[in-house]
Amino acid sequence: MILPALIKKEFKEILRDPVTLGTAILLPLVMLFLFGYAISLDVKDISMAVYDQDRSQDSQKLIEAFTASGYFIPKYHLDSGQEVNEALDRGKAAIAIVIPPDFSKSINSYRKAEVQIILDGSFSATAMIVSNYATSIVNSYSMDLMEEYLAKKGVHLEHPAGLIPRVWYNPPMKSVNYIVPGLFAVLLMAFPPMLTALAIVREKERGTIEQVYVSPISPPVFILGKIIPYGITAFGEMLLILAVGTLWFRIPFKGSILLLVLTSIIYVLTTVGIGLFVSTLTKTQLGAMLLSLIVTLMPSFLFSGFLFPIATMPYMMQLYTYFFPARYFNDISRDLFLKGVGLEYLWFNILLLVVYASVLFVLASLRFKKKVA
Amino acid sequence: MPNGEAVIEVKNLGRLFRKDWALRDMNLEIKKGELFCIAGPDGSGKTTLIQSICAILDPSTGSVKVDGFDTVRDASKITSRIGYMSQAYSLYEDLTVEENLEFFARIRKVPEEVFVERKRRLLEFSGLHPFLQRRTRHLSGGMQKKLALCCNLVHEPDILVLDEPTLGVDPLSRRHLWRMIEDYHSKGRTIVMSTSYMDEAKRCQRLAFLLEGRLLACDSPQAIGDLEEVFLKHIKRVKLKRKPPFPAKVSEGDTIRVEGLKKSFDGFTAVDGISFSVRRGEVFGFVGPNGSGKTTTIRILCGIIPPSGGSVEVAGVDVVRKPAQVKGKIGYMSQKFSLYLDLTVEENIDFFGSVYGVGSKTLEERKGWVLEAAGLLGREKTLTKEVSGAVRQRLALGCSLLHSPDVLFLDEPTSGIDPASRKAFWEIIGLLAGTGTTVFVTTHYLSEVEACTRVAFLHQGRVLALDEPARLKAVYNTGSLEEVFLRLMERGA
Repeated sequence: MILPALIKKEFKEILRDPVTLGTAILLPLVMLFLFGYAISLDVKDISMAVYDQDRSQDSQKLIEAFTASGYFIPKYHLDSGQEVNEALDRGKAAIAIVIPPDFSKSINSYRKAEVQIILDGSFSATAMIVSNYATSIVNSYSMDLMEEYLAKKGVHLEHPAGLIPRVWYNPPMKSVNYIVPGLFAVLLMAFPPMLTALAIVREKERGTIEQVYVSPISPPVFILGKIIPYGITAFGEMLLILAVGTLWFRIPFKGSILLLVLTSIIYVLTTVGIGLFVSTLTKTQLGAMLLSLIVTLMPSFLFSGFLFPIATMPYMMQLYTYFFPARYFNDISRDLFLKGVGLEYLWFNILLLVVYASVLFVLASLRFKKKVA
Repeated sequence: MPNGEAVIEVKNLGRLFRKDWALRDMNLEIKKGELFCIAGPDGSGKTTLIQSICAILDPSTGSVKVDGFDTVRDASKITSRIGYMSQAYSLYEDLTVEENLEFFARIRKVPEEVFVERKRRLLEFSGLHPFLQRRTRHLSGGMQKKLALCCNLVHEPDILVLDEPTLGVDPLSRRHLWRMIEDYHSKGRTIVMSTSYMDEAKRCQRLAFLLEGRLLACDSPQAIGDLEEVFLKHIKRVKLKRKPPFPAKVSEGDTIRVEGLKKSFDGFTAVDGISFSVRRGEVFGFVGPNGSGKTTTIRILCGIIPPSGGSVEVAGVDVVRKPAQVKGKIGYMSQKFSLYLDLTVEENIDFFGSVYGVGSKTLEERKGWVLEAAGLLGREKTLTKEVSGAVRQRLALGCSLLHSPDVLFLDEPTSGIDPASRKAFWEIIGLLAGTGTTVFVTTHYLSEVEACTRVAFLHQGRVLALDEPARLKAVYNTGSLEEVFLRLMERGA
């Protein structure tokens, strides 16, 4: 009879405290929208500066090829090298294309015409992609010229070697499809542990914990009395961001919804368990908040593969990522959303989560002593 | 177990916190059915002893047995059969009165029918019935204490342990709490409580007097004799003769003039149109139950919060219009004495001196006096958190005086401080008033109010009576201000 009383009390406190409720529901939604819109690894609408010294039909065609690709917007038409420098320095343009005065003449006399492309390489990953786009546009432009030339000579030529790319799992290659499933792992790691830790430490600060000590409540019951309500709250949070994520951002979902729900229950128990453990380490709410942010939010951003692929990390760092359960659920969530795989591929990550959660509960129960000092 | 047998046995108990012994060589027995009191100054080890009895603190040496069970080996057997009310309010603020009661009954496995019956009786007896659906955070301090006690009575433990249950509680609520405690005791239960009120200690059957972690005496109050004497004998007194080195102030006219002062917080009227004035050099007592508007009034007078209506003039400044200007002319010390615990004693004095823009030469001179008044001469480099509560309180008083304010506001400055230290505190206040400083003080200790020039009794935001203590006692034909207070409150309520 004690456990239901504990759970009932906890829910009342959650529902009546605007800060807890806001942290449980509003903050995850805010973060979902922020990240859903802000973090985009897609490279498109690249601002381009054009310094066309030729001003011929051919140079115009080349620029059009850039526009037509959909990736570039030739925003600035410049008249001097000085202006090109300025456009890049000020960050107005990420790429500048410089067409020499003899561009058209060279082409028409079948000589090599050189087009210069200047890139802002500050952020190497984006610069690389931009450079690849530009190169392939120029290549296909010159291929077209070549075909035209051969056609005039009466030779009809197909592309000698063609590449047919087929993209699996995320065919439109939209990064939001990749970000949002990963965000579930991050958001469930960010708030439920903090709320759980705060709920226990608040009792320490307020002194109510001493009433719990002097009562028949046993440590496991007390801990269950926190896990269950906060686990349910976190699960509700999960359903909410799942609904908003799929309906608003239209993330395709390929896998089994049942499997996702079940694994997220396990994951939520793990994250709540982290909060429990944190609460045994500190006596103040401020300490609980800082500590839980440090052990949850930061690593789940950096080491879960949410933004930075684990496969490209140094080997030791890859091992290090196993300390953070966000990593396991990040894989599970993305695999279920995008690949639609089943238990046969996911069991290992699920097993790791179960082990992780169990270890946390045992540790927290052992560390929770009914003594004030 | 028949009455008279030892139900709590403390043997050679010692408790070490880091390097300091909070308790040592403690031996005592508490008999079944006894009303037992643990008295002693702040920091003497009362709470440590109580927590050791409740099995939530393990002894470093010796042992404690409750009902024959050892507090280390059988802690769960002890904790499930005793009731314990800690110094903290220990209630869930977001739950209502009824929900708190229900929660504590449920975790003690009180059957539903029994609970319903006990709830009805307890609520009626404690006077909490009208507030059943109110959230605990909106209750006054006195009501919260009563509810915390009810939450322990609801499971009717054989042994009830109370840690300073009446601390910071107004005399009326204190009387209610005592009625509840004595009623429960009359049912044959064992009650162990700690207190810093000597009159309460006298109401117990036996008492243990603690000092610096040692048991000084354990006997009936009659055998121990005058407790105040015991306190004064054993506690190192700070004798301060030197007047504060402040420039003399004009000692005529009014320093505080309050006219029709009102303050409401979302529909709730905390201060309901009060008017009074305080003369220069007066020690003005401001007394009333918890939640009667004392702290709100002080905050308005200090320019911390704006009033909803009325006029306030302090030290010649119109506080309603120019709240910022009054701050250089007043000193304010709240219940929580706002010192920086991680700074040394001297660093605190220097900090507050510079905040108030006291010149370094003047500061040196006043610093000496503050250190002397706090009894901290020679301990300037001690961290503030390492000095006892009573000393800290005098240091806080000194820090609020560094700029030689015209008016000093003290909000329950002596809450939880032992009688000897309180006496020392009031001596300083007397010296201050002698220099022409006006002192405006709230307190729950009516014995302290005797030392005031005049006293105002506040109830539900209104002034019920305002006069010199002697005249008030004459009007109500009684020898004690406590009695005056209780009669006023009962009439007012």
